[in-house]
Amino acid sequence: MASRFWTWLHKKGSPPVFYDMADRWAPWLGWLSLIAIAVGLFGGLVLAPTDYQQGDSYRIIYIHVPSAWMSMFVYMFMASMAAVGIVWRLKIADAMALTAAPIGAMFTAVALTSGAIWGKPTWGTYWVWDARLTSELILLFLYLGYIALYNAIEDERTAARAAGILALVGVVNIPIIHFSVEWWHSLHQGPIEINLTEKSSLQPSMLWPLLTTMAGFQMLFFWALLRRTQTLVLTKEIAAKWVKRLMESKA
Amino acid sequence: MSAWLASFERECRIAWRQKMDVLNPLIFMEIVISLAPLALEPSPRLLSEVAAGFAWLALLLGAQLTGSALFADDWRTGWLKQIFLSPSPAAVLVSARLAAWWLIGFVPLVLLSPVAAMMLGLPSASAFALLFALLLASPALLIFTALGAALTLGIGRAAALAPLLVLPLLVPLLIFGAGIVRLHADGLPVSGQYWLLAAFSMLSVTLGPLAVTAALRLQLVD
Repeated sequence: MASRFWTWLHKKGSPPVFYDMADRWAPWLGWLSLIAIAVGLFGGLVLAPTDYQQGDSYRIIYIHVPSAWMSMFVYMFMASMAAVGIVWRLKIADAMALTAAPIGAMFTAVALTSGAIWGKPTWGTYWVWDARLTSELILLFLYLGYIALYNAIEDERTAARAAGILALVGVVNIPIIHFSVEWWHSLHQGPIEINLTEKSSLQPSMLWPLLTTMAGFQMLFFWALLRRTQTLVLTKEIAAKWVKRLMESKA
Repeated sequence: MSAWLASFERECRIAWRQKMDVLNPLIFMEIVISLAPLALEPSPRLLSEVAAGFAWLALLLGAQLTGSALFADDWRTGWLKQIFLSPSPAAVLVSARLAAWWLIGFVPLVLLSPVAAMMLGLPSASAFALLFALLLASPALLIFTALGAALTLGIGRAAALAPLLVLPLLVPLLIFGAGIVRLHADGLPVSGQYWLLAAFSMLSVTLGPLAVTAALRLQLVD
């Protein structure tokens, strides 16, 4: 059983098999994410009622919350891929960790800017040194550090290992950073309690668009991840036979 | 254990002989501190309020300077290869190196910080709270600095990159630590913060040498 698993993993992890699989999955993910985000945004921006306290400005949560959630999800994903790459030497895992990093950094940047845009009318300022803002900013620095380290080391395998170690240390540290900053100062709203079975603290009419955009962002990430990894695999294996065959078949 | 002790003694002696590597961060820290009144304004009230915070910042930045010296010669001298060939686990020898550097490189920095903060007008009653906090934080600070140094060892431009990787990871240390002096000055209990600092250092000391060793091993790949 175990050995069959490893054969399966290594087969799926081999670049040509991965490339084919990604080619089949990516369009589905791409279109589904587009539909989910479109439906979610329509629900959030048009159908959902105006908030009695914040007016219409609250509607930015349909971008802000999904990207903040993705910023953390992507880091966890990146660190787990790095761990798989370090432990089992799976090339495709290293490649995915690398391609996930800029996407995660983008989500973090979107979360920060959308938060700042929302903060101006609501809090009266673009930026406060508040707990969650600060830890999100540090998360952005962690992403940038990862990318910088990866790019600075010439040898690819060494770069993947070194950046992987950094990502793992970061992942141990993230909860500590989170709580330390939380205890430091917080002005941010308490978390919205999303509870699917019982009563949630967000009205259902406001909640379903949020959940839909979150699902959409999730698929958007995997779509971007697959496409970016495909490109990376192609450039890395440019001399391989299967790439040549692929190019000829597409031409 | 005997390998650790022998290695520790050797590392101490080497670190002691590289006097400039020990002195440079101290001088750097003093310069950072003396820039504070110039950057803000030389009003004693303001300075005494920010003194402890500036001392923390100066220490974090000063520690970054020691990083570049930490494993600098080890490729050339063959130490990097020897620790992995040695019958004792490499992590043990690495931890001896780190302990030696903590003693020779970091303890002077930590001892100087409260003095520097007092130059900015930190009341001497708070200086001990600051000293104790920095002392508890210093093992973690060293481990993260060493990790940054080890990860960037093979790169020419390492000196600029390592702090970029390390400083964001030091945020908890700064938060737990820098609040201590403020709480202490207000007469509030600070033992909880001390425990948090100690716990963070403990975690780094347990896991850190393994991570640093893993990072050093990368240098041998090719």
